[in-house]
Amino acid sequence: MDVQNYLVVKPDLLNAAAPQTDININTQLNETQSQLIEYEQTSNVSLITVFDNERQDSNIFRPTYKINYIYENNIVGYCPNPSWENYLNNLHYVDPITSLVSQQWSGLPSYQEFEFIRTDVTNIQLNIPGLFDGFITKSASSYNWAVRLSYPFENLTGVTMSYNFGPNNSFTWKSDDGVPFIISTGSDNGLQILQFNCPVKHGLSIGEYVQLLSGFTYNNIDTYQVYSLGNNTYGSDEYIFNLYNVGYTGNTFFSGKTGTFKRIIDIYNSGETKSRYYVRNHKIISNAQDTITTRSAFEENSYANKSSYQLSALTPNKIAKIFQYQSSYTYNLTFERDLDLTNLLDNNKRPVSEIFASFQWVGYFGWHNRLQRGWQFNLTSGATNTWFDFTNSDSIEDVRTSQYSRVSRGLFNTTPNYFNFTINLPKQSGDTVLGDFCEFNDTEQLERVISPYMNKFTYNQSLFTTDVTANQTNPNGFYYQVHFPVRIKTFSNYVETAAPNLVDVVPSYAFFSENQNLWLWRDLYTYGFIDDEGRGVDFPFLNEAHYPFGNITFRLFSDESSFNPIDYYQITIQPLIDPCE
Amino acid sequence: MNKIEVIFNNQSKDLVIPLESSWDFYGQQEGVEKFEQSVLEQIINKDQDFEVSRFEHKSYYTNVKEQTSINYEFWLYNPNVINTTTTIPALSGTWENSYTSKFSNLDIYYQRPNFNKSFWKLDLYDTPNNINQKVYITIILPTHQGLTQPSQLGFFQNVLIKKPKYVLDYLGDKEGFFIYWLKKRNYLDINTFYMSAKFFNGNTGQFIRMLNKPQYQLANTSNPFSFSQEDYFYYRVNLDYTIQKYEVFKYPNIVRVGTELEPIKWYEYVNPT
Repeated sequence: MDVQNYLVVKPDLLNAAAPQTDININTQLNETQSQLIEYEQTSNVSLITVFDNERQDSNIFRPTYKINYIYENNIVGYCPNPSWENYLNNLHYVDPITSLVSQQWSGLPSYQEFEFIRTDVTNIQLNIPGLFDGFITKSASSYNWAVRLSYPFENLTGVTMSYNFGPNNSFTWKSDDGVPFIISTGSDNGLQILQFNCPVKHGLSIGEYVQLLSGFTYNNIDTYQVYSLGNNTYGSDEYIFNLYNVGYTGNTFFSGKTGTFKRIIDIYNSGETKSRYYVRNHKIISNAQDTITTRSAFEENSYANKSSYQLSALTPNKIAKIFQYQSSYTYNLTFERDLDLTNLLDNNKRPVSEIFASFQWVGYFGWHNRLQRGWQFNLTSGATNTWFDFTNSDSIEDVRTSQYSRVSRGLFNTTPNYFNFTINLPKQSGDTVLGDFCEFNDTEQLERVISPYMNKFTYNQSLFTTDVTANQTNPNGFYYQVHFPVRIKTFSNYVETAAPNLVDVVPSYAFFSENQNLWLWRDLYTYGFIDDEGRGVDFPFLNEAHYPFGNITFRLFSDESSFNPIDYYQITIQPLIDPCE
Repeated sequence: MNKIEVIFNNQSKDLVIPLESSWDFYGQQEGVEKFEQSVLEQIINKDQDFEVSRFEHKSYYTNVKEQTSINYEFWLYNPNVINTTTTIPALSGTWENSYTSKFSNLDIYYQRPNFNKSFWKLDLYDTPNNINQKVYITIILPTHQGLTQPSQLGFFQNVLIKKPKYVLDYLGDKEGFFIYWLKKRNYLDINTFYMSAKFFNGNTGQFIRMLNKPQYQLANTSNPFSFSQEDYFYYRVNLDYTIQKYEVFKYPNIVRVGTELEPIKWYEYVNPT
């Protein structure tokens, strides 16, 4: 405001008779400034920006899966006497003439016993008037299998594991002990080496170090540098690592000795660069009624449906029928409820980057025993691994079971026979289930799956005998991988660092390296960003939600397979150039 | 107004006039951003969730057994089969749960195009008032679904042909069993629909409206061609968003239908000749 001059004259000085009164001074306020709010006038409207903002802010997911279901119904069995008629009359008889003579009908169950959606509504297993409600059509997709969503929320150490390195050479360790191995000696280009054979991928590189546990201390040293990998056979470098044999004496590194190792990247920072080993523990986050299973239209896999025509004379109940025992259907999975992953942390306390479709065999129609568990390394070719013997309590799956019974009076309505059937009740939201055997390295901020978690189901030998040997505590059965991930976020392929004082730019899941005096973490890529290595996610975003898609090849394979089931996971890539070239 | 006493001593004086000023910029930027967001939404439309969910028929119990099927019966008018009990000459025929009044046995058995291309159309409206109603959902029931009835081809060949009785469920005949509707209610909040039915006849190229009662049972017995459309053209469909299920009721009363024992029955509306 400007300074203005006013002349104030008292009234009596202006006019002698004037009374004393107040004098008003009117001041003018001239404001020459006004606030200019520029952002009100210039705002760019970009549909792409708005869309991307909405996409990055959303934590709602609607996952969809396609299941390519591959199995081979190849475990032949027979119904022991007395037989539960429903099983006896619903087999694909593999040698009906011999069976007719012996009256021991050997065969394979119907394909319905494997399907994700059963359609045998007239199956008498559930249709006994006055006793059971019968086949509930809305449960058709949950009688055999239960598929739930889950995420790993904690790491379990101390989980007992075991591996058979050979006859009478079983090695048992805990999940946090690391990766198992067996020693053999050898040479590499003339140099004496100690060869460590692992049943799983060791994850080591040349020059890194291994800390050997359980009796491998030599001159007070238990950490050794990896000299080389493999034994000159294709793919062996992932399973075999070698130490340079400087002339170790004594029995510390005897051939055939077993143990475990932990990987160390930097010997001068062994505390922080040593890997941690654990079993992921998953939390189920969806319920049975949330899962919608449908046939994937007319899609089938490349293996044929198989069925047979059974002559009436060559069946135990003298009824002719066409019997299907193998299918090749494909299924779709969607979920009724949206998945809100806001503030959800994974097993390493990082934002959840994968959600899993977790499979569980239910077996409502009662053919099978209680579920068993193990890891992929527990599968052996051509024989049932002793890990899965019923006497091994560590191989019993932590699942609730239920039982029901049926009575059969036989052909002549004679003495009643009672049959008991077991159901593996499906896990519900909030339940936990074990997961894959993993390694995590704090300085790399990287998790590696060492061996996937597997379940096994076996036939109830008192109802359907598949193991003709006297020892029926370890019958053959079917295995499947339990958890199938779908990536919803991707961590960067580089490790980000920050000085200790830059706490405000460091994410909550960063690891502080005292040795390096740095924060270490991997950034989360934004949705839609794919780096030059092809890492990243770019699934559809619409309706305020992300739509991740998972294509699952769900394999069910049996002890009777002629191939090594582990081969399923080790697809050998054919060389592009002929070795002769 | 401030009062200031000026003491005269013939010297110039300065008057300091205090001006109270209060600034109110706090939150202005947030307000502008909200305004900007509002303008953006007007320009490019607010994002909406148009995802649909699968609503299933709510289960019920028949003879202690849990059932989920939804049952439809369509009764077509056959003027050639005389109903001797009716007192209305214009409606002397009979309503039959069969296609045979509209198609030949051969058409039905061999699924000839005139039969195969015919279908039932169930429209779900927001109100039974046909002046201001909107159709939101349409369910098509093809004629190749449904149960069968015995029939004859020629004199001797006994066959089974389709009839307009539908038992829709999770397995078997499924088309029309599920209602696919908006997952969330923030765009359209409707949980009650009114269902009407029409038969699109591939034989004639015409459609037939269906009533929820045969015409001789309408309230106005003296003139069955004059009636309240609201009362006789609809069933009521309730959606339960929480459990994602639906139920069908008679309209205007509240008896549940669609069950095995109480199917949803539709009767051909016959125009006066």
